[in-house]
Amino acid sequence: MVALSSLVVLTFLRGGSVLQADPGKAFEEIRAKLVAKHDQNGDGRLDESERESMRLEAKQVSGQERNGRRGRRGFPAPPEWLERYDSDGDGELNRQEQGAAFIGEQARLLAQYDADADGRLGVAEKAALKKDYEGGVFNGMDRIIAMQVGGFQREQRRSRRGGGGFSETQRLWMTFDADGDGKANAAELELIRASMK
Amino acid sequence: MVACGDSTSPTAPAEAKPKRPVLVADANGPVTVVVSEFVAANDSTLQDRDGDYSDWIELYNYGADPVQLQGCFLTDDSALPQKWPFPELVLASGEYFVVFASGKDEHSELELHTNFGLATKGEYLALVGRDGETVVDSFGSEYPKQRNDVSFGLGPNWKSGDVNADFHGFLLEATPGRQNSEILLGDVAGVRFSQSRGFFERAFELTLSCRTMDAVIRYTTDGTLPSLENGQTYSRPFNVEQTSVVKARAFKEQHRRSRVKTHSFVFPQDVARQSLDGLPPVGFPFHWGSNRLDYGMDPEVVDDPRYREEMIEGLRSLPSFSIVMDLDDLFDSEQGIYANPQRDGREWERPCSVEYFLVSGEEGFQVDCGIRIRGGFSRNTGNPKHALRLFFRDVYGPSKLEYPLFGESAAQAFDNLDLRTFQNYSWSMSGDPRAVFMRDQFNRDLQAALGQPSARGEYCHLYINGHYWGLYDTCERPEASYGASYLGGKKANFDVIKRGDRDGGLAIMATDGNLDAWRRLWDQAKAGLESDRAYQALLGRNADGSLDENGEVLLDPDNLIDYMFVIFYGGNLDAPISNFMGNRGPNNWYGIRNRKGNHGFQFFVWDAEHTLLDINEDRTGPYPAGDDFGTSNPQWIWQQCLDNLEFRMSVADLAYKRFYNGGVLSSKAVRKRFQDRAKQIESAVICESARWGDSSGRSGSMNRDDHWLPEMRRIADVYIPRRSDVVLGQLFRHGLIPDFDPPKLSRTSGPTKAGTMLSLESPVGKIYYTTDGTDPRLIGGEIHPRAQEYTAPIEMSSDIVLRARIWLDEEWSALAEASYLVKAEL
Repeated sequence: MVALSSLVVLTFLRGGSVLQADPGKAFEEIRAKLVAKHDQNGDGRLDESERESMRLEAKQVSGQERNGRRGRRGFPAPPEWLERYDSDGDGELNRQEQGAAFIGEQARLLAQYDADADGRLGVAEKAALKKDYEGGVFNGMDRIIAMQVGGFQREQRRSRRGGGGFSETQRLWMTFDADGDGKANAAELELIRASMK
Repeated sequence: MVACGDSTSPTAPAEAKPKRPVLVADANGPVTVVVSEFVAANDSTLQDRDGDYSDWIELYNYGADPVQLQGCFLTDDSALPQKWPFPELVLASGEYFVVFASGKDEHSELELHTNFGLATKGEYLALVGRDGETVVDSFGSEYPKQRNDVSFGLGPNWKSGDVNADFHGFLLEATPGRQNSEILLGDVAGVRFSQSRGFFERAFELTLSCRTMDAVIRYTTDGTLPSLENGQTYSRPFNVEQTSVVKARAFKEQHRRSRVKTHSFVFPQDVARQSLDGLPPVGFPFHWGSNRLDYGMDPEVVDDPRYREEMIEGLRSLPSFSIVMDLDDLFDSEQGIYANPQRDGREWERPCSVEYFLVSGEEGFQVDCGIRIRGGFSRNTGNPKHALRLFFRDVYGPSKLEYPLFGESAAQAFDNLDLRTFQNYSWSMSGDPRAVFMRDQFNRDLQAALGQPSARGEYCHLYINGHYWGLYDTCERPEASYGASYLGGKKANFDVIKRGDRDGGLAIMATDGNLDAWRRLWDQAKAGLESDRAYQALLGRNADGSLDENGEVLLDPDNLIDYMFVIFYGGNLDAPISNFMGNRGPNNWYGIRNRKGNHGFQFFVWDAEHTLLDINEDRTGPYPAGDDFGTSNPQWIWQQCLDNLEFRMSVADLAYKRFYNGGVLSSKAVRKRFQDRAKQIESAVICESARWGDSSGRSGSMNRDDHWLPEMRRIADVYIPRRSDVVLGQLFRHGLIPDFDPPKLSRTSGPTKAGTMLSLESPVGKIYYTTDGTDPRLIGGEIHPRAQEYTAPIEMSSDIVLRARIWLDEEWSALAEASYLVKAEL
């Protein structure tokens, strides 16, 4: 039996909306605009020399990046970052917006844990952040930001060398590791599940 | 020089011994030395200093006094008793020494290598005395046919001086540099499973058996290797009621143990309920080192009435890989590759078994191989779902995977295989709502559809020790073995160029062969390609396009153009020039060329994750990456080529072929291809959402209908319908598309009845055509002498390859072409 949701998907997969001819209107519009712009002799078309002039202009415009302009985007940002930092509203974070996002998110998190508002995390404040970090409060990019603010990368590297750095949940599980082999057996799982009830 | 037990010895199994004292030996004393053991088919018993598994010969001094071997010889040819002379070498009484029979003929302080190897089929092998004639020890006229990784030699009960062939035999265990093990009395037959791997709906009783009398069967269900010390002894059939993995092998005294057999039994109904509370499955660890941990299926998905039934179908809608291995090799903080995902290289490769089930449930294959983590950014420890790479080596099992993984028309043997994840645009790593699991695969599909070499891939499910690990995508690797399989030529002759990493920075490197030809291509492009002489030289031609007998073909222009069309179509932000590096650095590209062939570099779409995003994305550049050789890349070659009119004409011709008249990159064709791929994973995506949809910790689980489908619709209904036009517009802006179209033909290619009239039509200019496949335009722009001006419909009386262009104001249109197979009757 095919579930109802599958019918929805199959409808999409069969295609639906009508496609234009090749090439379509969009290309004709782009071409018309460029012809209007570069048709120097006004004969309604672009001859080879006019096309060459257009080509060199396109090359020059794009080539501005050679003179210091950097690429526009950083990385695929999570939606809430777009809401906060996509200042030009183009649906992406350009390089400047990306930088602002990292700085802004770090500041936001710092403010959240900086109980005495001295602009830095003291021992107790850092411990609170760490507790939440290990408790799985942060996920996705938030986790990376928390790691940066709390300086946990070093600890992660250390943990790779010698254990530690586990979440509270994992630490709880490990208290049930009766045979100390680091792996879950049926009896240990039964006890963990009983404790969860 | 290495003696057994020397701490610098590569002899892996050697016992630690103090460094042997310097001995004074009588250079004329008796040679009380025998060839005590050798391996003529060494796949894994001992590596030399180069890391090669060279054949080896063990010598043993059974005498009471040290022996000076300088002046003695080893030979594999009775007619050449002095084939390989020993250098200075003293063996103490009772000492073993290993000489590599590698053919390398090296005498170093570290190792001795003879100038011959040992034949597996059997041949002469002797130790010859100082007179160059007397055979001190041999195996008769020839030793018997040898077996992989099984040593041949003297049994442990052999007594000094008792050189008796009866004591020779295959040995239970290879012991280079140590006392020999027992002589093998035979092999233990493999363990038979009453039920083979696959999908199951009902519990069954599993019987293990072995044809060898009195053999003991040992088995494990936790992925570890069964041995006499590890696992359980099989005594009676047992029930398999849920998804399980069983490894078994049989043992018998003085017999070679059987190979390990591995079978995975997958119960889809059971998989859907795996670890719903997120706790580790039985036998799995409580942590993955510092890597983020995530077990189990999400009840929000598997109990959702929309998915409950379809998910079970989804698990069987794709082929499945089952990896079975020691979980410590994955998750242990110190040695686990999953717990240390940023570590790479051979040191971070671990042994595993891989099984493959077909959609039909039929068995595909099982091989033992090596496994590593693969990927770039996705290797971070915050990502719980890592991509994997399998290596087929004779140290694990077969040296190649021989299986038609991508169909009978594709490669049938593989050195390695990637199991890709969906990295940046995934639910598992960052909960990205744009995850469609299609971007990279679909870009590779487009390249293949253009008739260009491409890294093939197919979707699959993955299980690790029976625990469902999600949707993956196989991928061939474009390297030398790929070249040998698809492009013709020997593997050793291919240059494979890519952007890699070296000393913490990016580098253009040759993963196979060398950079010389790529450097020549870049140098010539750097010098400028505006002139036909310069451009045609890259194609191995003279300026007029005729073949240059002494020319070198470095570029395949059609391949480059098609490659760039795919890059532009996808709006690829990270290949071959990376927007994330300010367009100053290259990324994610491969180029392959056969040094002994007559074909230019061919380029491969790779890691095309950052694609199909912004409908107006313009990646046509030009960009600075490539201005220096250290950032060279195919797009920079394209940019240089654009200065040449002939190349621009080729771009126009191919653009017309690809984007017009239902071509591969026309919106209709692209969408059909996209939908066909989407159909393959429409149900499997539910399984991915159950496993990883809640992984990023965003509010609620990501699922198919609420997350995957909207983005798929955006691509199919918004991006694809307009994208071909947008890209054509970008090409037009760069002056690459003439502003008048080629002539319209009254018939499309195909069988045609004799006498049919073919009409050519254009509102502007004159039409020139040929019917023998010749381009009516000559290089340089003149009209080809064989071209005719079209004045009236053409009657088709025999097969025709028609090529036609418009000639307007001394400019040419793109090329229209069609082939007609003319028949008397259709």
